[in-house]
Amino acid sequence: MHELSIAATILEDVLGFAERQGATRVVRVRLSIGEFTCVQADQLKFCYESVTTDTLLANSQLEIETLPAIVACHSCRYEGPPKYWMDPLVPTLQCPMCGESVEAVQGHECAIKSVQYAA
Amino acid sequence: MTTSTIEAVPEEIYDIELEHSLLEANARLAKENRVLLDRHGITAFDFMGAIGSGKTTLICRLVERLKDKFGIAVFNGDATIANDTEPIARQGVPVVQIATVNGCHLDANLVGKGLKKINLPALDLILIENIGNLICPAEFPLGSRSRVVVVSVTEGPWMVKKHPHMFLGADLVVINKIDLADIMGVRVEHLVRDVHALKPDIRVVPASCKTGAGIAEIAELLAPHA
Repeated sequence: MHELSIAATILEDVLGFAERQGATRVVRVRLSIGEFTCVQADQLKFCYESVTTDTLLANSQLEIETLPAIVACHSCRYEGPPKYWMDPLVPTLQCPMCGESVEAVQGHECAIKSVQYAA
Repeated sequence: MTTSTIEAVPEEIYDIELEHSLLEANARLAKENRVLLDRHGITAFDFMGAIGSGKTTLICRLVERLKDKFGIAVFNGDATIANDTEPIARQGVPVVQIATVNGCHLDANLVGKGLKKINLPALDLILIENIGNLICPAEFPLGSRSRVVVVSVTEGPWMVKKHPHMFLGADLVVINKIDLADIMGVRVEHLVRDVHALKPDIRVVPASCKTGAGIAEIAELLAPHA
């Protein structure tokens, strides 16, 4: 349940921001989470609800946007979506063009994109 | 008669763009750990794997093999108890127990605190045993040079397919307990194939802490020319 430590980090970050802005309550927090991370959206929402109780963030909405994985191949110069494996689909680090190993250039992000608050 | 109306002033709503990374604090501390290790010429390896995959025993075998030639310390991450530290401490190397107090992964902050507790100039290698969990530690680098994933045949034939994320971030995969592969009806080459489907260039070493198979090869990868 690393979602709990991520939820706690969101609370700390947004609370500090909201207080500096003189917010009376936080309405919505928007996150961007890369496809290569193993952050589970439902679990994160549950943890978020729990840790924000009785804070400025209570009852605020947590919106999670998934950032698609992008890989780059140093062998054949391919850059684009990764090769997927199995069902449910898992992005791999195998080049969809030449089969060599690729580098992930997008998809490991886990960031707060925006905060909507009332003042 | 005049009527006065009081209207509620609607709250003003603001929407502010931020770009705050949630994993950055850990990543920054991991980098600090790495700088400290590099300054002392120490190479650290982070061992990840499920409970019972054989991480502690593998580390024990590696310590046995390497302790005469290198200064080694072991960091042992566990949710609560210190049982795992005993067989390693018996070999006479420093062991730092890191209790995450029921947390599911080690983080760079805990490892950084551990680094303050040992005599760094005496060391060449630090083997860090992460919490037995194949999902959570993936997002939390510690500052090690490489991440080793330990998976054993006793976990069944689908371990790689069930936990792909852990393998994507690994630099070396050990398939442990191969002496039990026949009894378990697990084909080691299928596990190797699954790992390579995720990451074609990753090194995979089949091993057995019981028979000693693969241990020399892993030791050579961690500490070349030992």
